[in-house]
Amino acid sequence: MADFKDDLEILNYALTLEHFESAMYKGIVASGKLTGVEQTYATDFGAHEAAHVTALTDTISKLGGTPVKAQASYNFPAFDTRDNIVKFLVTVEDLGAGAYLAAAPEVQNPDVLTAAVAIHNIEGEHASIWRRQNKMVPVVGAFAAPVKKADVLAAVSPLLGSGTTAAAPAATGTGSGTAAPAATGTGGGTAAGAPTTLPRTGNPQTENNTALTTTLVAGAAAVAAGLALRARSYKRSKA
Amino acid sequence: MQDQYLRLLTTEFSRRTLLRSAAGTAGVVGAVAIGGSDQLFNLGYQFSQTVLAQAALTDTDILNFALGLEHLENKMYKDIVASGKLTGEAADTAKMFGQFEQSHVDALTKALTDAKYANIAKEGTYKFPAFDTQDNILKFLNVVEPVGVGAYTGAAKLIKDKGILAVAGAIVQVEARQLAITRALGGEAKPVAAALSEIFTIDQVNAAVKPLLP
Repeated sequence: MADFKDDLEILNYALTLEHFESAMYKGIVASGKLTGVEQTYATDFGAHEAAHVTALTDTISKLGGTPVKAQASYNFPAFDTRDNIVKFLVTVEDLGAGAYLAAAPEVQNPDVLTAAVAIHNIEGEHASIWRRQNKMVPVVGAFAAPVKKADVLAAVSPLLGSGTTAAAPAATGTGSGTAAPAATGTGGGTAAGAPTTLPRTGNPQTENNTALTTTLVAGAAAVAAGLALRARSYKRSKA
Repeated sequence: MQDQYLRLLTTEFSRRTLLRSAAGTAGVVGAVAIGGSDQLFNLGYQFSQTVLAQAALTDTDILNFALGLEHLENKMYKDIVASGKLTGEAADTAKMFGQFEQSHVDALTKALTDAKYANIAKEGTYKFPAFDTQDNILKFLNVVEPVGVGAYTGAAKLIKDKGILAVAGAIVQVEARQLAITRALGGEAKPVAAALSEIFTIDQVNAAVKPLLP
């Protein structure tokens, strides 16, 4: 089941998240609570998010769509201590990387897909760096976990607050792979899990790769729960 | 054009190993990569590619291409861990990332085996530099890891099956995360180099990997 009706919807979904991340980094850098290499990371990564905003805005316009705009403000937590900021960055960047990962297979335009994957990689790189700074395992498993749109929106909506252009009704309980072991340790990644929940939209014009897909997806599914769990626990901590 | 290079790279590992064997330097190669009737089969396959080069790539071709790179990365990490030259966080990290590459190799191999793919890429012998100091090792990782990221990213649009694309995405994100960490371990001030990751054409992948092949 597709989460998006077309590329423009995916691009605006991504742009909504990028606006949020860009504003987040501006606020964090301005807070002055990070120092040294972490302040440098935040400055650089914020520039990346701003570049993503520009690229997505231009692409949406070129495709004939209307790019969503940044909100005047967001419901960020207080950027009051270094530890809180780094924890927040881990949550947001992991979520962003997972959001792109779940959405990418639905992209139709090949050039948009390439760009989406390249942006997605950067979100993953940001996430791994902040995880390292937070003394966490930087790469949770051999296969990164996608986060479905409903879960992303559920996690992000409280931060977007009112007046957002992208907030959909926050669906809950749609997290993927709840039965899989939460891959938060240092393990080698591909614990067996029930491979039932990764996106499999299929493609009728292509060769029948169902078995192939199933085999591959089996390895990836086990780690899917980790990120969803993090998103949920973050939600709880905000509530 | 691109497809042709992709096909060539797909078979590059086994082909080069094979040529060495045929030239009488089999002692180096031993039985590591391919042996016996596989060699003949691979040779036939290689010739067939010049004819088939124009044919459309299947998803399994792309996965096999990816598997070739994963084998290289997997062996690289195995050798690095075995060198014992890394300490502390770098040692732990290399061990962990090596496990991930092994998982990628296993998953891709199993998928291709189940799909009865004809010429599944195997581990070969590679011309790695000496893994003699932590600095040199990290520098080398920061040469190889971007190739993996760029190769998957460039190849993504060639994948037809959306489920396979999702898995390729799950792998490339891991490669990207590894890259940022190995860069940070190497002391790079900008472990995330730009707003867009590497996007390698097949030419670029080919050029990058070639010096490492026997």
